[in-house]
Formats: sequence, structure tokens, C-alpha cells
Amino acid sequence: MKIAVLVKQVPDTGEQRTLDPITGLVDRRGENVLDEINERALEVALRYKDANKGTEVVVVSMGPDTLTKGLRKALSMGADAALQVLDDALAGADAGRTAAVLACAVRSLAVDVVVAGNESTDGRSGVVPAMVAEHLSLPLLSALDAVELSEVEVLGQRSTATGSLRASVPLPAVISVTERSAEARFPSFKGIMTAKRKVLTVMSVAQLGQLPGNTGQTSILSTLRSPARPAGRRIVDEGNAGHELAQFLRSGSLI
Amino acid sequence: MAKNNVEYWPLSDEQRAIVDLCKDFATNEIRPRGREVDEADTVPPVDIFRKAAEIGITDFMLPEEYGGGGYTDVFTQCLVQEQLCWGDPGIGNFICANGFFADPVLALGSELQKKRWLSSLTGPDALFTSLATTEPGSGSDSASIVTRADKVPGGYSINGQKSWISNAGLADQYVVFAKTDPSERSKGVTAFLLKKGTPGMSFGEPMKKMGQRAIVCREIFFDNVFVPEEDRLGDEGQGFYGLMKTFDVSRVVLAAAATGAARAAYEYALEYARTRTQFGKPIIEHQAVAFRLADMATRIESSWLMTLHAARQLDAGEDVNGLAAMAKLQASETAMFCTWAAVQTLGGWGYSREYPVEQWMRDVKLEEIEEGTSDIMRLVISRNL
Amino acid sequence: MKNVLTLIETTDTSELGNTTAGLLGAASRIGNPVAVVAVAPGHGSALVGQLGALGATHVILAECEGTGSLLVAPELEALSAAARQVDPVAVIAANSVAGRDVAARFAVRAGAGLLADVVAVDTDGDAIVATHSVLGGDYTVKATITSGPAVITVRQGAIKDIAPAATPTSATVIVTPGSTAATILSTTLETTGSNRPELRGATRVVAGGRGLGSAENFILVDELADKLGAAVGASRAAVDAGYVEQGAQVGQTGVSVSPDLYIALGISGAIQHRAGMQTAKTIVAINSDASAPIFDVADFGVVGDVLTVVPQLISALGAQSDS
Repeated sequence: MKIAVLVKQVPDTGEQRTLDPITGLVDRRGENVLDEINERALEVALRYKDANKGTEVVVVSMGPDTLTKGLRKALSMGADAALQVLDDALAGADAGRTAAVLACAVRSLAVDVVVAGNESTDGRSGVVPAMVAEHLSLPLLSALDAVELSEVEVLGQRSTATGSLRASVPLPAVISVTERSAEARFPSFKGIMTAKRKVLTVMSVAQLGQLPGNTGQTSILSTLRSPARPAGRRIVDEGNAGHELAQFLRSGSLI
Repeated sequence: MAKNNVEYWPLSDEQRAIVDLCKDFATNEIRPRGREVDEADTVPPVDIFRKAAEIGITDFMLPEEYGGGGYTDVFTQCLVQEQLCWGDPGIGNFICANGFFADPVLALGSELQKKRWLSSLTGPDALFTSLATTEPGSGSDSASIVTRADKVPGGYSINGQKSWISNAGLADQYVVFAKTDPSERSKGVTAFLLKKGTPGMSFGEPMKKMGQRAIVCREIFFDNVFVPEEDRLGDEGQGFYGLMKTFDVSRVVLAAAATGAARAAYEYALEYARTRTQFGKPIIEHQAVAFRLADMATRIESSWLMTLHAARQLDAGEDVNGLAAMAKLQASETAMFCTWAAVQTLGGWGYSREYPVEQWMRDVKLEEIEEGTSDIMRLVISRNL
Repeated sequence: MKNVLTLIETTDTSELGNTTAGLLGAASRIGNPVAVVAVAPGHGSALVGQLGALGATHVILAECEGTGSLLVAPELEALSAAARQVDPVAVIAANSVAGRDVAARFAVRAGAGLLADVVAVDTDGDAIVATHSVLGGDYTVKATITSGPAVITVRQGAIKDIAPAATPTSATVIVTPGSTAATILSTTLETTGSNRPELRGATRVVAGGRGLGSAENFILVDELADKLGAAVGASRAAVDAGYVEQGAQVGQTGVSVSPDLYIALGISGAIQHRAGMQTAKTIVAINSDASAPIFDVADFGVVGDVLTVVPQLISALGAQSDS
């Protein structure tokens, strides 16, 4: 089986993140890390590989040259190869264009399963997996908390507003996983050593071949920093804070 | 600590990945467990060691030919130790303890001994090890040990007592230093390899310690313990040389450990000083607090530079006896200062067990004592002048 | 007026989803709300009147085999068929898992620009302008599309516009699901806390953090939530500590909420947590650590022990409801 895992680098969520006020794009000048949700997606693929020798896991990404660090990490966790689409023309690409490029890259790999995170921690729009699936004319099983992968199908469990559901799709397919899916492993020292010898392919858009035309695009009109919240009232509990808080909630018609 | 992207010394991509890995491990697996291990007092966190072993942290410093990670250079060991001890000084030292056992084996051992006694320390099922030098009457003056190894047919018979032995009882393998010639001082010391369960070997109760409680210390008693000739490490009388060789490496690595702990305390204090408000402004805007943080940062910077410098000299094959002592002296005293300063910055909360800084202050005191006290460091430095 | 096609969600029991009013309200801000809903063959006629009451001027019932047992495919075919009929300037769907999967696939199919997770919609001349709340509400970004129709997914609970009631015309189309469907094998109803509101889209949220100290103490969060009819949330630290299941996690990773009232109990308020809740209208925080960053965003902060303040609050609220 061959599995593609879609990954991206995002600004560290532990740091203050900002948008460029002119372009409206996420400021990526600071420390960027492999998105945690992508590591979980990779973990889902690696667990299958651990149990099924002969499985090949390829991480696929689009991004600037600093992305190498994240891809090397994925390789040291156990992915077999990495494919990076690197092209200045892709700077600031929206979800539609990103999905079109990733779909093209994945198509060139002829994989059985594409695993993605359900949504990135920066964009959070969560639409890329479905768009990739549509480009590839593959079924999609999204937002899975638990995944059972086999030679012929994927079984998955998803949380719903009222509980959960189990569903299946035949392979080949695209799946996306939530942060409940799998705790990602650490890379290992041996993994770091062997990652050096693994293949990291870099391609430009031109090398990818024909992108689907007519990938609808969006444009950003304005970006405003939200005003800081005005300072609120703060009390120190001297035995009566519960009552004072109840009073506050009542007076503001909050209950 | 430097804010730009120029590294202290250029790291390879692999070293950068190793630093990231250790940082992740320290953040997610070590730091959250620090307080619990401290409170447990005498229970080593074996599960953290196992997790570390799975990803290669416990054996990265061992040569590849015995199954280790092959990062035998002291420089990489320092990068790792600094990150891990940032998570928690005791736990960080605990999971890398096998490096201390390996040093004399690598320095003195035959090829066969290395294979036999080091291969078992690699992989996910790595054994625990222990290095036994200190005795009730012999601390800094290790040439004055009185545990004896008397020649008997086929080997030696060891009699005596060791104290403050890290991982004693837990460890499966031991390097024990004993006198084969009691009339000599350093020239009479010989090293031996022992396995737990050797008849005549027994252990005391866990010693109650101030800090670094992840590493449990006990006494070891030797009552006519037979060690076959083949388990003697190096020649008779070579033990002290092996020990000294160990010290130069271990002191530099401990300097890295101390620097990591110092950085942890500094970062904690800095964050607190930026968010804690008193007299209407964050306390970092009070000069008394800001200057203390400035001193912390300055001393950490110098400790780290000295540590990495000593490591590089060591890796290049230079004699670093004095430099290693300088690095350890500087880093351990920096760690003591920074943890003290962090407690001071956090004030009442610093003194509280709600926050980790009081524990770190107890933990790092050990670095001014183990592998030679600060007094001994100054002695070593002065003799190298 | 130009048609805005609105993809209506239905529940497991084939009733209108709770996002319906907001979606039609959003559609009415741009143009003429046309509803499309995928239904099992022969079903759904009862929905027409209900959709009209919520503002739909025209309802397209797309009868599709497999509705309710196939994921995405019936809704996607329904939307595609309806779009061919009414030539919409915009397509609006809920930003639920299903809604955005359908919208994303449709956007690719139609070569349309996709504006996801929108909190407000408007027009500026001919342009459709969507407002996004980005990076945990730190930024407000307005965006539009450069090739139409605009496909918009609306954050649940974010748009409160109500479209004027209408008497809709209706049409039925028959569609067949494409080959790319996933099949639902079973659904399970959650047994615990099922009468609490869902966290996503809740108007009130009570959330607990590691400051509660134990899973036993987390019951205080449940009790206050039930007292207020609120959903239960949690910080990542509380989830990691095992006080509560992961579905309750609010923050950067986890659910983003914008309730009218958010009460944080024993939550320090790390950046990642604030990113998921700081767009709440009113924030209340109780924490023993006066320097906890949660107080920076709180409208009412109590420096004190949650274990004493919360029981007192619950009894004070009880006294009120008795009076």
C-alpha cells in the first residue's frame, strides 16, 4: 500500500501569531513547525506501516524552502519519502489553489490513501482535504477520531452533534483525521540519522504538469486587528465572591 | 538565548533535529512529571527512561558498533543534556545516566568487554547501570578508597562499602572501583564490572536527598564478592586513570545539565516577571527585578559558551582537565544563582511547591557537589594554571 | 434579486437542522434565499413550509437514494442540480463537517471561489464580501471572490440575521449519488450529558482547567453548566490531565466558541486557549493565581479558589431562581 500524508508548516501556536496588515496573510517569519494535526495524520499512516511491511508513506507539502525542516522531521518519524512543491508563484495561495497543487502532486504518486489533518491550526478552514478529493475524484471520509485502514477500505469514526457515526469508504480514498485520532510519536535518533538518506523531492508548479484551470480564487480586501478587550472588573475573594459574581451575571442579564 | 539565528557553533541538520526532539521530549514527557517525581522522593521514573529508550535518548552517546546512536562526541551530548535538564534536572540526568557507566568501559575495556557490557545498554530494553566510586570515608579524594579487591584463584574477592551510589539496586550492571594494592593511592585503584545479583553484593535503603530525586542513591555492601579475572576493567592500577578520564567528560556534560536547569529557571522567572503586576506595572519594569534577570541571562550565556567550548576541545582530543572544571564550576554556580534568583523573583509563589522553581533550586545544588565539588573544581583549575 | 442558494442541513430524524435560520438569514443579506435540501425519495414536503417561515422564497427538494446513509454525495448532487436550475450568485452552507465537505467539493466542481468559516456576509455593489474572524479572533479579515459563484460556509451560530418569512414556491428534482460517497455504517447517540447544549454554537459555556485539581472536582463545571443551561468546555491541560473527554477542548486545537457568556474555572488562559474563546461577548474567570493571563480578557475576574467560589455561586443562583 502507498499512503500520501498532506502536511504543512504553521507558526508555533505557543507564540503570538500575527497577520500581515497589507496582504492579510499569516506572518510566517517566526519559528514555523510541522502542524500538530499533520503529525497525527502521519502517525495514522505510520501505524499502518508498522503493522504492514511493504507500506510506503510519502509526505506531500507545498511551501517555502524553510519547509525542509518539517519534512525532515516527518522523515525522521518514519515517512519513506517527501515531496515538496516549491514555487514563488504559490506565495499566498488560497485554499482552492493549494488544493489544486496538492492534488496534482498526489496524482503523480499514484497512492491508495491520502491522509490529511481535518484542519490546520492557522487557516482552520478545513476545506483542503475535500477539495483534493474532488480534484482526484476520490471519496472522502473526513474528521475521523478513529481510523481502521485495510487493503480494501477505510473504516472511520466521527463525532457528531448528537454522538458519533461510523462510516466506510472503499480505497482509493482521501481521509482526514482529528486530534483525537492518534498521538504522534517522537522522531528517534536513529530516525534522524536515516532521514538523511531518504529522498526529499522538490518540484516547481511547471514540473508538476497541468494544473486544473479554473480553480476559483478569493482575494483579501482588508485586514483589521481586533481591538483589545477593555479591562474588566477584578475582585479578590474575601468570602463573598460567589454572591458578587451572581449579582454581576444577573445585572448584565446574562442568565 | 541569543535572539538572532546565528548559532553558538554551527550545528548540522541532524544536531538541530536532535535539539528539537529533546526539546519536545523535555516539554511533553519530562517537565510535566517533575513535581510528582520529586514528591515521590525515592521512586525512579522508570517509565520515562523506557520512553526515552524507545526513541534513542538513553543510548545515543554509545558507539554505533555496540548498537548505540553513534553520537559519541561530547558536544552533541551537551546539546541533549541541556535540553533534557531544562525539563527537569533530576529526570534529565537519570535518563542519560548510562553515558556515565560507558565512559570508563570505553576508556579501559577490551573489545569483548565493550561488546558484552555496552550492547545491553542499547535499544528499547536498555538496562540500568551504576558507577560506584564514593565511600563513607572517601568523597572528593577518590584515591583514598578502602574497598579492597584481593587476588583469589580465577579472579578477585571484593570487600567493602560504597555510598551515595546513583541507581544502586535499580541498576543491572555496575562499574566498581576498588584497591588491588592498598599500599598505593591512585596507582592501587582498579575498576571491575559486576552484575546485580552477584553473591555477596547487597544494597542499603534509599538515601533521603534534597533534590534530583529521580536518581535514587543507595549504599552497596561487598562481602567476599567474587569477580572473575575477565571482568576486570583494564589492568590493575589503571582504575584511577579511567576515573579521571571519566571526570573530564562527565564534568562537561554536567555543566550542560546545569546550564539547562539555569535556563529553565531564568525563562520561568522572565515569563513571571512580564505577567505579574505589582504597584501598577509588570514587575520586570521594576529595576531590581530587571537587573536580577539581566545577571541571570549573562551568567547563562557565559556558562553555555564555556561548556560548548570545553566540549569542542575535548572532542578535538585536547587536554581539558582545567577547562572542564572551569565549565562545571561556572555552570553549576550559575544554576544555583539562577534558581535562587527565580525563587526570589516569584517571591511567595517561588517558595511554594505550586511552582517548580523551589524544586529546581534544591535539584541544582547537587551540581556544585557531584563529580567533584566546587572546591575541588577550583583545586583542579589552579593545578592546571 | 439574485438567487442565493442555501444548502439546508437535516437531522438524523429528517428535521431541519438548527443552522437553518442562520443560513437563510445570511442568504437574505446577499439576495433572494433559495433553499435546497437533500431528502429521501418521497419525503421532505413538510419541510417546504418550515423553510418558508425561515425566509426561503423557493425550495428545491432533491430526492436522492441514500440520503441519510451516504455522506456528502446526496447533498453534493442536490446542490449541483439546484445550482444548474437557479444560477446563484452565491452558495451558502454551514461550516459543519458535512457542510464544508459539500461546499469544498462543489467549489472545485464549479470553479468557484470558496470563503470558509465566515462570521458575517454583506454586499458591496456587485461584490459579495465575507468577514472572517482569524487567529482566534485577533484579526478581522474581509475577503471576496474573483470568480463566481461565491461559495460560503458560515460559522455555526455566528450569523443571527433572520430572513423575513415567505411563502415559498417549491420544486422537486431527482438526483443520484456519485461514486465517491462514503457509507454510514452506524450512528451512536451519546448517552451522557445529552441534554446539555452542544459546545460548538452554544450561547453559554462553562469551561474548566487544571486549576480544578482533579476529575472529581470537575463536577463543579458540570453543575454550574447545568445550572446555567450551558455547554461544558475545558482547557487542553484539563483534557490532558484526564478530567474530561477531549471533545470538550476549547482552543487553538479543539473547538472555537463565541458564546454570549464564557465562564472559565481554574483556567490560566494560555494563548492557545484564548484563541478559542476570546470572541465571547462576556468572559468571566475564576482563578487562584492573580497573574493568570485569563484575567487580561475577562470582563469579570475573581481571584479566589474555584472550589469555594463556584459552590457559593451555584447556591446564589439557586436562591435567585427560588425567589
